[in-house]
Amino acid sequence: MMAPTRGQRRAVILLLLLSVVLITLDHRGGAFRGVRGAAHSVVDPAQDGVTTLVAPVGRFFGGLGDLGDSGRKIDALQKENAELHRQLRESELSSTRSDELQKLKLLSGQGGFTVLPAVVTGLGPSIGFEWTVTVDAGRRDGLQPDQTVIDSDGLVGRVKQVSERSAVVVLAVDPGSAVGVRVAGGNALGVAAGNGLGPLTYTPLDPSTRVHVGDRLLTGPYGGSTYVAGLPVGEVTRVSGDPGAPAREATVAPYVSFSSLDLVGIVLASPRADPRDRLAPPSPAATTPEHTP
Amino acid sequence: MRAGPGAAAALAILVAVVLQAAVLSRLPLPGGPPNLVLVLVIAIGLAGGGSAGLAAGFGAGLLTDVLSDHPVGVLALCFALAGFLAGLLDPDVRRSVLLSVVVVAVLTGAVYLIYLGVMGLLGRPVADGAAGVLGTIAYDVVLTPFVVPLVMAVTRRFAPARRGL
Repeated sequence: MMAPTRGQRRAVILLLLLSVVLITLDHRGGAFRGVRGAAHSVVDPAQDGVTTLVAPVGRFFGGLGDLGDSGRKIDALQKENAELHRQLRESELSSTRSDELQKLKLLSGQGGFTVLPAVVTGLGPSIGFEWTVTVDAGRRDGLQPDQTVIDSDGLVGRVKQVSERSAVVVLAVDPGSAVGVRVAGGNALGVAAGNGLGPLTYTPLDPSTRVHVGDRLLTGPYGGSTYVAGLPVGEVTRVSGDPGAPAREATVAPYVSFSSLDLVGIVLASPRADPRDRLAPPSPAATTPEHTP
Repeated sequence: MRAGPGAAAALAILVAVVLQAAVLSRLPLPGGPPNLVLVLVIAIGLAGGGSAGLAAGFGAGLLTDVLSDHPVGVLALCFALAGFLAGLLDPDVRRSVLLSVVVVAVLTGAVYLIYLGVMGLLGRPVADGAAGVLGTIAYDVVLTPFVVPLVMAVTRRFAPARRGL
């Protein structure tokens, strides 16, 4: 081991202090939203490129020209443009991912949502522990923070950060994620929290609620969660304590296979009416899609 | 650091971060994902010395931070320390591929500990605990014999007279 020179020692101390200042600023108030957005707009296109190379998919990259500058017209045109983007995306994706797209449209059709299909281009580059993905749709496609993201099996997560052509989605399995849920066929509400890649933890709001293995959880009604109501979340696989007795916690296998996300849909618009149990998958575990243990 | 090696290092880091997000993090491997960016930072430290490792680590960490969900600065701190420590090792140790594998394994473990410690201090939830770390260390060790000699070779081309320092 060589002893660091005086200059090096000073540089280390300076950078460590700088890191601590940055961490403090960002932890307190999210001071770097703009910087994060800018970084994403630089890196995500490259990421798109690599994803396209790795899993060849023809996709649309046409730029959006200058739209002139008369406010209301721009709004209308942007909306129309986003809708056209959506249709174009659908027709392009239908050639490469037609099965998945059909299933996604089936689910969104049943719920009456308008869904923008998007492809996952990358996972968060961090060192594990946090569960976010980047998708290849952004502001120009009409995405906004907090929109709900689904795939053909159910709830994936919500939009966290939007750049021009890409967006970051926090998955429902992220340890910071908590989804307000309702048990299908009833009105019992609760919270499904993420634990990283693996089962969710369901906690009923009312501790006297009986939870059963096989209970299907859907996103909660309006006001109950930031997510669109009535989306399939997962199925209870294990209840702590005696079966049938009031339980404080239950393990929930998510319907969505989070380890192999590819085609997802961002819910751009949804009816005010709660679809209730219409989207719930068939009851017993027989048809549950595979999930990671 | 002169402009040549600095620019090459910056480009390599950018490429590594993109590959990390688009490919490596998505590989369906048991345990945590391989961490190419960290291996690159350590390799730059081994090849270029403490200052190069420090600068590369801070830059790479910061870029990863702004693209991730955790507070900006956490990985900048972790990676800067890892690159710096790698660069402080004796030149003989740094030039051995076998020992570089050990260095990567130890520093990967250390980075995870610091990361978990900082996130704990901030009260941020961290899933999966330390379970994935062993996987990441194993994958990083596998990456090392490819990344380190490559970085060494590039560094030598930039500074032929200075023999790896």
